[in-house]
Amino acid sequence: MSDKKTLLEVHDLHKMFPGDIHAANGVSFKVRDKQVVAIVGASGSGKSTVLRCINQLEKPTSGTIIFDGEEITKEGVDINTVRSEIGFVFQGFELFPHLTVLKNVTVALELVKSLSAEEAETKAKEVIESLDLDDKLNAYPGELSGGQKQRVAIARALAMDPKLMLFDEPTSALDPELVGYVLDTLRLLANKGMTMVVVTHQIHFASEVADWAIYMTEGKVVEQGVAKEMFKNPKEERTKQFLASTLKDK
Amino acid sequence: MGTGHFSSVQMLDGIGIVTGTMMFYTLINGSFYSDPADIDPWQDIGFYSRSVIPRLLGGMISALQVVLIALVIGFALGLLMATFRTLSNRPLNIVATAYSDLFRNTPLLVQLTFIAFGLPEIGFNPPVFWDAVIALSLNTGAYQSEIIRSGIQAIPKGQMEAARSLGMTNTQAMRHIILPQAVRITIPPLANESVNMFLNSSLLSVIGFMDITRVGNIVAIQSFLWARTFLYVAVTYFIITYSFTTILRKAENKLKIPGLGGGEI
Ligand SMILES: Nc1ncnc2c1ncn2[C@@H]1O[C@H](COP(=O)(O)OP(=O)(O)OP(=O)(O)O)[C@@H](O)[C@H]1O
Ligand SMILES: [Mg+2]
Repeated sequence: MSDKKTLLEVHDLHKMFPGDIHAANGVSFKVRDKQVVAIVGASGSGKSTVLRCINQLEKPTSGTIIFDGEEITKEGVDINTVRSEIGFVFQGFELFPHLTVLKNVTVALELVKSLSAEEAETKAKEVIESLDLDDKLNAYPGELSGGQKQRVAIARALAMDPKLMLFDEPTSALDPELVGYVLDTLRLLANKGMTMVVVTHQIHFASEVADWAIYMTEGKVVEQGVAKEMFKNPKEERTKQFLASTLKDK
Repeated sequence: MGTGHFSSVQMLDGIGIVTGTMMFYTLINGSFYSDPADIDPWQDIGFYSRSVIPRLLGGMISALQVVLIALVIGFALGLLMATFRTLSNRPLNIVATAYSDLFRNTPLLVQLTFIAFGLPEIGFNPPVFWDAVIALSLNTGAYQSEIIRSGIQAIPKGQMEAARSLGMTNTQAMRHIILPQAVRITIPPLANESVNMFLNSSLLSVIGFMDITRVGNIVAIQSFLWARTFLYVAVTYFIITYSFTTILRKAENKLKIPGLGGGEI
């Protein structure tokens, strides 16, 4: 694993919010090519903040982020190009409700990747089909189930051919019976060798799919390590307690 | 009553009866002062309709022209100003806020008068048609900017984030993701504003613009048939406004996107 090239390096990341909230307090980790990294932790521990700092939906207060060999936290970096190479999947899907499924996927291909309408459509259809959504091409998001919405959101990000995919609790807004449907899609991506960082409460899923796991509390990384080992034999007392309580809930 | 002094109640009664009777006769005969000996061509309903209706239609078309041009300019202005107000750019923000506050906190009649009769004093004196267009555009632009701004604010923050996360610039995200949704959910209030504009265009008669109301005034002064004339005027406004809202309501239902609401028109 360690012979693979590092795709993403987060180094000493801090993020302060007004009101003295230290949402990320010196977070460091690495993501290697084709690796799946899971971030777990209690609500409010700063998982979303870390993820959102990576593609700078939140501007980090300090720290460096190196993506694909380039320091993207430097002044003068074209963040739009960087973002087009990092897919982001939101807990609440955030599909564009005024556009059909097809247009949801083509809009950024045309605007950001400057593909022609036909090229964008071909590319979009290919990705939508690979996620078994071809019968929904002309549907509007309002006509889809939560699981289908999340798959479209994944298709939209995937169509950009990102080097890295970030998932912020992709199954938390779903009805329990639809969770598996979306997790299957994540498994599929992992098997295809997509590099991913996944914030999740699905410990079973994380220990099965993830290579590396990170446990956070109060903006800090308490423990990180090889996922299967960390979830089976956590070293830190707080990690043990967290895992025990999370697994008991399920 | 014997002393020749009326009580105030009796006096009010008297006035009521007199005006009531006058209104009744006006409605029935066209004029209270009709003298059978006096052959007034206006009394002929056929002559009246033939001469008045075309003039009213002419006034309606002029008013519609001004209002439609003003609505289009006002919409462009509204979009621009609403966008300015969502930017963090201070000067643009201040300009847009000042504009909208100024025109929404002063009467349209005052704005019209200022532009039509005040600006000529400093050498700005276009034809009355353009005075009308300028005044109505500025007025509706202010209201539309407010409507569109609240539409933009109603779009969840996650929409902008999703667009930006795909690599879109702020401008691309506004143009392709935020504004189309904002405009769609503001169709009902914008329709409302359009109707208001059309009805308020009756104020244009004050600056000498030949709209329906002014045509009605002139006809009524010539014929003394105020009730009949203004009934025609009112019906004309009603037909235009009512068919506009009906068509729009139908169109909106047809164009409705599942899961993307707007209110009732
Ligand atoms: N925009 C913001 N402004 C102010 N405070 C914020 C903002 N975003 C997050 N926070 C605060 O930062 C802390 C970390 O939030 P974050 O959303 O990163 O947690 P999380 O681990 O993702 O939680 P959850 O599991 O509930 O999603 C919380 O205390 C939160 O209230
Ligand atoms: Mg979160």
